[in-house]
Amino acid sequence: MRRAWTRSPQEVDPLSWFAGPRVPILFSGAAVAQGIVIVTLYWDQWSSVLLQFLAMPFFLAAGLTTSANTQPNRRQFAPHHAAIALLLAVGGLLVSALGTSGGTLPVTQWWTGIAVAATLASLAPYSSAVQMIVYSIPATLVTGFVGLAVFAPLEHFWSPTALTVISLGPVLIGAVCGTVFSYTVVDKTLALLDTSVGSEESFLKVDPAAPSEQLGSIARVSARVAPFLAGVANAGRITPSDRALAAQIARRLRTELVSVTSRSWLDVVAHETGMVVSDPGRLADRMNESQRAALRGLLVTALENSVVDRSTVLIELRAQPDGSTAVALSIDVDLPEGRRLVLLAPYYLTLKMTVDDLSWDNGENMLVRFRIPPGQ
Amino acid sequence: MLPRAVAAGVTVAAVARGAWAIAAVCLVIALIGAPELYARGGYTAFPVVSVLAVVAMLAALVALVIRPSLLTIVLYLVVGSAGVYLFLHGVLDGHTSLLPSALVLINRPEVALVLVGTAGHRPMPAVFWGIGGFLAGAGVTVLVCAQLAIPIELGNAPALALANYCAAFLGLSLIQRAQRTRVPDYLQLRDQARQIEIARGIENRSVALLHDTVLNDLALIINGPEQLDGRMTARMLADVQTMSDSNILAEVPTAEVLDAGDAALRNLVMAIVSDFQWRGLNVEVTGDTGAEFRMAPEVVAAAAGALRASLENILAHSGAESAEIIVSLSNTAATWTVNDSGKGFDISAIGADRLGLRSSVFGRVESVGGTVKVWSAPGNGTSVLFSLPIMLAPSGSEATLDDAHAKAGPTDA
Repeated sequence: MRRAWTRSPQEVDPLSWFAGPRVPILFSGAAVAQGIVIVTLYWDQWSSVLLQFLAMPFFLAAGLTTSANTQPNRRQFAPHHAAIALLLAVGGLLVSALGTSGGTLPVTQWWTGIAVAATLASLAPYSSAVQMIVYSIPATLVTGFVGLAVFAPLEHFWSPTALTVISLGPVLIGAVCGTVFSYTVVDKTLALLDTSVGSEESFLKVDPAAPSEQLGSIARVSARVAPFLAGVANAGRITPSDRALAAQIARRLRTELVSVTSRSWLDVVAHETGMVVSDPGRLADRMNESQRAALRGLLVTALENSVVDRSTVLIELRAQPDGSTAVALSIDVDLPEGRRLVLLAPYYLTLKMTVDDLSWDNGENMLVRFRIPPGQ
Repeated sequence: MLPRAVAAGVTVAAVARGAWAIAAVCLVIALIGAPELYARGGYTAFPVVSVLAVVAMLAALVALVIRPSLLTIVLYLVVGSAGVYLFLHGVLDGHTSLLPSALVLINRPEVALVLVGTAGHRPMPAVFWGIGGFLAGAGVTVLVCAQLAIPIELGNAPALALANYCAAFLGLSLIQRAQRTRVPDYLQLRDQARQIEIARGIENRSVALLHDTVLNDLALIINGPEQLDGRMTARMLADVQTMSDSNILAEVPTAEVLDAGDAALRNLVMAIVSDFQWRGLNVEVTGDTGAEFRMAPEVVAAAAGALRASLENILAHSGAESAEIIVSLSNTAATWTVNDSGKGFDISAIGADRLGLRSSVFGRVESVGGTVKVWSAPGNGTSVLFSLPIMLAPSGSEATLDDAHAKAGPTDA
């Protein structure tokens, strides 16, 4: 099961990791909270309490960096993103070490091992098991060496080996836990996906007694026509007023019919929601079922939210020379980036699975762009 | 893509395995570190009973990893409590001066006892088991301290381990709850897209019909002769009749809310669950358990039969002691996901003569227009997901308990 070692949980099941980006912040926050408790409990035993508190923002920054780099609208989390987080954590470790060296703190109460472990473990949902091992080795060794350097002059109860093991113990635990977690999620998910049987089809019923709103408008016109036609047929002769009324009804009905037949599925959504669609080539109908489902989910969620001005939602589709279709969706959303992400990220992830080159530009006017490959 | 319920179960299992890995590391550290501490201190030989205690804990942990179940969890807690007692007593008896400096090493088995994990798909039981492990370890430590007449030293590590362990599973529980309310159900979105497409197809057919009938008739009135002949009259009347038959003249009805009222299936499900609980399978029902919808009697019978067959399979073949049924509802279908964390099986290796899943679940569900999907692999448990159509509008064909009982019949699991 080589794939279980080389793929990350986020890769094998992106939708299940919607809440993932918050995990690193929670991990670093919890580690710093434990640090605050330990620093306070052993207040007099540090050589510099100030340096302990100065070390804490490094770990918070590591969590924030990982969180930012794992947002749904970012590219795949990469080793250099992990390296930045780990370097920040090592920075915090060194600052804390400076404030511990020369004090009387027992090695067992050094909090930074837990914080480095939390940084490492928070990478697990976005990293493969192999990557976790690669990240773990330097993190564990650095923590062990720094621990030995700081505590060897202070501790006489423990041997140097024991001091090293105690210092790196939390990091080792974080590394083992993170690696096992990553491997298990990928292994189990792939095993279940590979072996599933059965139909994915589900049932579709459209109630014949509940036609669309547009069809209802046709129905209303037609309902007026039926008695008129029956009346003319039963009378057996056509009067000038019949001809005038027939011409009037025919014009209106033809307009309605043309309107129905020229609509794409996106026009149907626009008709229901009030957004504006610019699709002169009816390119929306080139989208496959998955793309339609994902885009409609994003649109409906945005349009149903009170902070979105429906009239500002504009979606444009244009044919590209290579046969693909470029799509740009702009929405005025009166929300800060974080809340905007919470609102739309799951739908963004769903869309990301089905289209190419998806990008999300934040600003007062949120702009989502993607490309539908040719030949669909 | 895995259904959300199955993916959630995988995540819980992965966090539990992570906890077991940490427990194993803690036990190995105790096994190697404590004798080293003895040797360095120039004490007498390290007590064999303490080594055996940790080895026994490791063996119970391996059993838990290989075969997670209620039995192996309880076994791990019992063996673990005894192990912590024997380890602590052996290490400290006559060497109480090791405290408090060596506490970080000698309370490793106690930390391992906290990390008991869970055998199921849901995170909250893991929290309760963890608290149980912590209390057992603390109780044993207090007992040893009392017997050796030394001050009670619990150390920070077990409490810290419990806090982090509970935070992980509680966090997972919160994430899964948030997912249920915020993350879109992709399959449901896909169904809605299909419904729009079907509705557009109906529209286009209606347009063609109107074009061929009404517009032609109106053109005849505008341009035709003053006096209609019999053929023209007959055609116009026939067109009016065609429109009436095709329902296109119906006014747009307001959307009708699905009626409540089918308590029959819910009662039937509860009866099945109760039956299996008596037979030793702990079954938990979650999801849209309070949802109300109508199904045709034969569909209710199929749902009940498939549910019974799925649980029967778990009881007979999976080795699991618990199962979870997750109910979810869309506009067109009711879906049941039956999860177990048993030994799973290789679906491709099922013989043609095995009728369990094929006839009792697939056959039964598909015969009434439903669909079934099964995920299973050796060592990864099994998830059976079946969906059945619900009726869009209330009608007199409401299922009754007796109908369903009569049609569910015996299963062939």
